[in-house]
Amino acid sequence: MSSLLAAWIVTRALAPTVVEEPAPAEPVVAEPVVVEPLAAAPEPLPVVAPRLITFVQASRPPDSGTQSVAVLVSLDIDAQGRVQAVELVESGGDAFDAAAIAAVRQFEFEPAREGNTPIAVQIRYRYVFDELVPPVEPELPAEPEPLTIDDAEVVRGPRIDAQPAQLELAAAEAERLAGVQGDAIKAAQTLGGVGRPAAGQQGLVIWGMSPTDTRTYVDEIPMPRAFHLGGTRSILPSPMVDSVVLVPGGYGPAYGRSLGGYLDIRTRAPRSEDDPHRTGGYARLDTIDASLGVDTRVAERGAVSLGVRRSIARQTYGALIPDSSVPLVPLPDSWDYQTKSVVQVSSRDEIEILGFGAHDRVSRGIPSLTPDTRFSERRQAGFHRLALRVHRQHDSGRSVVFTGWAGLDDDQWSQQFDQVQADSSARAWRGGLRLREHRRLASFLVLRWGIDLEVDHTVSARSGAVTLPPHEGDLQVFGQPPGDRVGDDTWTTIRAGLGTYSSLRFELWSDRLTLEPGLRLEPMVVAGDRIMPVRPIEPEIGFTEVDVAVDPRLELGIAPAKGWSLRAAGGRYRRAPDPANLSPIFGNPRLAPAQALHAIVGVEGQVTPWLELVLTGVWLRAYDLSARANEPTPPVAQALVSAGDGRSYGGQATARIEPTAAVFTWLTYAWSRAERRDPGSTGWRPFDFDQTHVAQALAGWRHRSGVELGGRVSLASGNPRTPVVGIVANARHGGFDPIFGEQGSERLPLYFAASGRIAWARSFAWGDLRTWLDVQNLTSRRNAEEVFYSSDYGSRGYVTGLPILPSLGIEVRR
Amino acid sequence: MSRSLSCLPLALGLAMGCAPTFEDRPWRVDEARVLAVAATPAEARPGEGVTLTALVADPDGEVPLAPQWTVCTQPRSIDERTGVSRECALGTALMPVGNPAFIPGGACALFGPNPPPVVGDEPPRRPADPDPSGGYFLPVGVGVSSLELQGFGFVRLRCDLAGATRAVFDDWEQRYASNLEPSVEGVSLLDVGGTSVGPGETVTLEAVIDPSAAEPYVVYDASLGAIVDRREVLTVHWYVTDGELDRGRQTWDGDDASPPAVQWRAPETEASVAGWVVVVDDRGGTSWASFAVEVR
Repeated sequence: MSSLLAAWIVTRALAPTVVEEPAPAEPVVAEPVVVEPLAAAPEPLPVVAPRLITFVQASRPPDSGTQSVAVLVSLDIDAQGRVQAVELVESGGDAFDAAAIAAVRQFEFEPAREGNTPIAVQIRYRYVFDELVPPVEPELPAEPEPLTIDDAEVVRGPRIDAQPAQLELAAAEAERLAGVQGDAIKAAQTLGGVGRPAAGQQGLVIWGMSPTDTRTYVDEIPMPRAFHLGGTRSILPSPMVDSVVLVPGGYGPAYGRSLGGYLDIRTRAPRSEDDPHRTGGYARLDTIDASLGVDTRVAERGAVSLGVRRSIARQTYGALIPDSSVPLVPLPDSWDYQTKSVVQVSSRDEIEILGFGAHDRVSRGIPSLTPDTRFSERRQAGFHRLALRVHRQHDSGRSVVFTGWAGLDDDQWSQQFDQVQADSSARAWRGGLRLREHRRLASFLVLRWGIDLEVDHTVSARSGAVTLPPHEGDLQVFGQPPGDRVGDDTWTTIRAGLGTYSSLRFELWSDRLTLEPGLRLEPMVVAGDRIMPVRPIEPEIGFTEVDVAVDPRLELGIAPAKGWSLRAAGGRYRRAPDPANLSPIFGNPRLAPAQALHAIVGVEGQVTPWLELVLTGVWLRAYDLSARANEPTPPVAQALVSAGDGRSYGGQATARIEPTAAVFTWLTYAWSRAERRDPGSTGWRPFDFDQTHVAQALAGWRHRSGVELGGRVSLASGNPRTPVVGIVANARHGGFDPIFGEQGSERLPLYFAASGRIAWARSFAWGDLRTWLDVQNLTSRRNAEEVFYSSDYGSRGYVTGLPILPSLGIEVRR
Repeated sequence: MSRSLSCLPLALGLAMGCAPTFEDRPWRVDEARVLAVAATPAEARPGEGVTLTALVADPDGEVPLAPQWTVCTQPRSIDERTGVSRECALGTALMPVGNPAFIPGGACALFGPNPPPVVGDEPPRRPADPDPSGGYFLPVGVGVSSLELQGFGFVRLRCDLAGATRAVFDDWEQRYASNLEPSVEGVSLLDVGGTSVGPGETVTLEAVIDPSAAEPYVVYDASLGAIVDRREVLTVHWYVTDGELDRGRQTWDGDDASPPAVQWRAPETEASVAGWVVVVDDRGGTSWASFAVEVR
């Protein structure tokens, strides 16, 4: 499982280790291997380099003289040995650059391997056009020469265009982590800076920012969430995923609209033409869901993949639930689908058509031995996305990617506590365009610019208790009735943001120093149909708010010594108000965009060939957060105000230990504080999701027989909760109301969980077979998820989650 | 009230776990508590007087007392799920009143649909949100210092309709009838003769309520801009000092063929058991009846 470490990419934002390869050609000839050791290189690790198996000869440009010309390019080679990206490093002149790039894009490699596992790598390749001796003979196809690449010089992950503090997991390895139940995207919860997810939590809490402040993208297409309702499964099955990239903060200007980080899920390409089977697929079954996928080549240049998945938890875990408890247990009913089509239009143009969708339906109740305090909740949510992506690799080395997408989000939710009901729905049409270009202006300078447009039209409706759904910071206890005040509103919101961005990346001191200042300029328009509550005696007045965000970003990297790097990144980030909060009755139509400042610094070093250390420090400051108005009679249509403050700070230490190629261990400890300051308050309180201490140990071992063992141990501070310090009788409902103590002044008990995984994989002539048993919470520890009070608040206990939970799965792939 | 703890499976998402389930007996009067507060009349305009009555009970039965009455002066903020604001619950925003108590003149602006007062050029402020019956309530505190008891009842405010057209306003004024207290005639013990039962015996307690107690009324629907006809639903609360009830709360709309009833299992030992049935209509009108059972 050593490739797991190789696949986990921690961007250094510095020059990667590179290797230059000779290129055989006639009249292009190979040049002896020249290795350029650069600063950020890790120590050599046992990697089998990629081997060139298909060489494509470049045509020498006409009228280009007879001199020898060299063009140095950087190649990203995926785990299938295909050239995914080409970047010009040293120019030999525009015409030679174009010819060389066009040729190397068609190269095919036997993929680099770590053990038996193919891995993606980056190499540098020097394409040499040899001196011509007149008269020029007709160009002859050249035979590829066997190539060898020094293992030590294969770049094991870092990419020149990656973000600082970026963390990447290859899906093939991520799904093998213990405790993720074979879900590659769920492995993101194990990455640095990510808080321990509460049971049922659907988002990621990254460095103390709200789950809604971390955006999720699939191939650069925004998604409403990364996980199905309940948080047990992600929205894409692992066989459809290529990698998962988590950027916790401090990212460049290409992304915006969130105060926290973002999760970028990259889907797996459909079958390539060099695959021995023209058609293949997968079938996967475990105790949570069943999925099926096919992918096939279509004609000469096309390929299509299609996958569907359906939850079966009702049939598996549901059988274990006592009949009397069935109404209380919310086994989600979920399905999703994915499709990806790729057409290689030309040697430099590729078109992708993507479709995704998911739907969930879940209901739950809070158990009670009496019918007096029953609570029920039902929710169903779905989304669909359709996208077109065009990749163009210009001959000059420029790369341009266009993404256009459209989609529909639908969310319906209702709660009923005895006779008090609350209903909410939102239906949003969304769409967007993204265009980005990457161009090297000089050997030390790279320009990146792009356009990022997003538009949504949301019709929201809500009726019932004004206190629901709860807002971060609301004082409440689990299961508390929502109160007797009700409202009713239907409102329409349109948001549009046209982001334009650019950055210049300076690569200095033999790439040991990189500096990338950037700027994101984004006018945002938020419009709605009503700025005040409906009153028949008054005309309805809509509103339009315009905000122009000018957000600077900066990334800095220094490699003072081989194997060591320092990095820093920061910037300002902005998020438009959530349409759900723009009701004149339940929220505030004139909420301002929230803002955040990020500052991240990190040190990374290869201490020994088997030990890598990463230290990271983070400071985040958020302004203008939407928060409850802190007065009993706020101005009309200002139930929420843009006056909340937030701050997070902390640090993390990670040790990645790989004593042998078959064993890996990660040890991570993070200390952080996430706090909020409510409107009108002078003091800070703990953020509802604050986890001061989070520690995690992951280990894995893979035997050549195909047997794999993995384990994970997690420790985390409990989330803050507000104690009940008194009660008063409420004669109208015949019960008691709580009196709260200091907000967030107590915490849930320490969380501890150990998970284990045993798996076996084997390749046969007809395909690959894998089976696994993943067991969460091996000790069946009853970790507290919530505080639960009796009806008179005289007794309390904890809602606990996840007793020992085995998940058995089997998969066949071809 | 029992404090024992048991466990039921619970899933939050698919995370099947365990939630504590207390052997809650909200109906059991095992310590002094305020069970109900009634105002007569049940709905009043600002400046009008109402007579307040509290039902306070302890394990020995009803506690005769003369409580201290107050009115809450601080509305709830929007996120407060409780009946009264934290300031009122803590006693820092209460104003003593006599009995009969007079509804403060500004009650409809502070707790009702009228815009709260503003100072200077302040923007108009958000009126109170109604309850599901379209009503607004003045919280009334009942304190019993000798028992260190604090509770709150709610007097329905008769405020003018706000935000409606003139025609709707006139229609509402014409059609809306102030709430009346639901009349509870008593409690019958079915299947037994008299008021004595054997230890452990299960009997049916039936509340005798006039079906007309569930009154028709009209409510203004702001989203429709129109008046909607409704009929009250009665919520029936049961309390006993001993024994076991199968439930402590139920609803009754007056059209049900059978009156509201619960199963009560007598304690296993001889005892004198007191009980009450408290009926609260949708608009907050409250009345009650008591009963006593000898277990022998």
